[in-house]
Amino acid sequence: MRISKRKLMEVALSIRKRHFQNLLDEARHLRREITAARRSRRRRAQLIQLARRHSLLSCLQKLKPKATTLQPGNGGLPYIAYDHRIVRSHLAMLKAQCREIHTEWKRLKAETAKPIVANLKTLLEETELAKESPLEVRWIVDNITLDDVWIGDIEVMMNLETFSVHAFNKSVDTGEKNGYQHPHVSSDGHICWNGYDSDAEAYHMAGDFLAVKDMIENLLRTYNPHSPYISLEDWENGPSSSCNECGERYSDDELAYSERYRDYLCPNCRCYCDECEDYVSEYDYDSDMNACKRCVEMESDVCALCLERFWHRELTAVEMLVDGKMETVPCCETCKEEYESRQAAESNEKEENELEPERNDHADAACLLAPAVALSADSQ
Amino acid sequence: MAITITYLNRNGGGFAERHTVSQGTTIKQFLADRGIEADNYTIRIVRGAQGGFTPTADEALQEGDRLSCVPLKIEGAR
Repeated sequence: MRISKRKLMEVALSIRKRHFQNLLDEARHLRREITAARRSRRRRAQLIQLARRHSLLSCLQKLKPKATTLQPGNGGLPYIAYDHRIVRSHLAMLKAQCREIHTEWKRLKAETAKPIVANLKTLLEETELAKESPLEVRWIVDNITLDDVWIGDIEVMMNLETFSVHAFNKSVDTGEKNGYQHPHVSSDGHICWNGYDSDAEAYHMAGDFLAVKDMIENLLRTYNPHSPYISLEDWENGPSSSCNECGERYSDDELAYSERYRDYLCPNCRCYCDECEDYVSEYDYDSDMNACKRCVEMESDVCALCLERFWHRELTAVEMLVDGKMETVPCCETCKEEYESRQAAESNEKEENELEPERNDHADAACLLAPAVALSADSQ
Repeated sequence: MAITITYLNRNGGGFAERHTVSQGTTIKQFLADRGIEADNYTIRIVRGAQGGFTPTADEALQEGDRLSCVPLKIEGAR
């Protein structure tokens, strides 16, 4: 696909117009910021003046630190707040930015669209036109190798009308890399610029597409071990994740997902809780109860008699005399049976004891009657 | 005689800086004055009709050139 000279000029002019518009928007925004900063400074000066006039020493003391002001709070009570806009350097910075934009505006006005056309021409020589509306180019960053790990050829698509860049790996099956196209490119082709996008966007806005292209190529050929989507080790050996507990890397087959931690645990660090059916670390596991500590705390209790811990389902509420009062206490099955048999034995004994005096009464009666009987026999 | 060029580098806060240099200033001289080691950058010049090209160290700057210096190491993230 080739692009006509007319179209090229049209695009260059639209880029120039867009650049003007962006500068204008930015200048407007800065002017608003300057007005707000001036208003804040003026307000603070008035507050100090007022506090001085009425000898409000406490208020003056509170307004003494740099950039402090009074803000209306809830219920009409004012509170002391920090307002960065009051600082003189903030206003100076805004003014400097405004001057920069003004200079850029003047420079842009003095320039023709020729540098943009020159940029576009070279870009179209080095790339392939993918789409005409919106104008989009594509090119291959070939044979990318990062720290001796082969990444492959990456196809880059760049929209020239809006700042939109996508990159796709053309050499490897990205399914095996968790979908990532490159250690710094997501599965949907978005490059993670790590803050460089503001520069790239500024170049793009000014029509310096070759600089953007160079930036993209250099980024794709650089590996940042501190923050990749996928590490080079995983890129080479297949994706793996790290254990939430020990931080060691394991293949996905070896790791188990824990709902509790919303992360993975390795075989050495995880224990399975049958109660909540989840994996937990050994620190959160009670090996006596074979369950996680949370379940133990919520689902178990101590038997009032043997003081051993049991699950709630294994405990029965038993009424017994505790400190002279009848109370319902949890009791394990064994203790409950023992307690009940002891209670039964005690009540039998009690019953027997209650019967004994009756028998004794008869005996005593017999004893008492005996002499009388004997006497009556003698008398007879 | 002096010429004016546009210099694009990352320190410019995204904006292109205008520089006035004496005619005949080479790329090597211009970068050396700014403490730029050419080996660590992708350097390009976009020049009117000629378009964009990678200059040699002895290439003399010309009026209206757009010189870009992009660091070779740009660390992405996730």
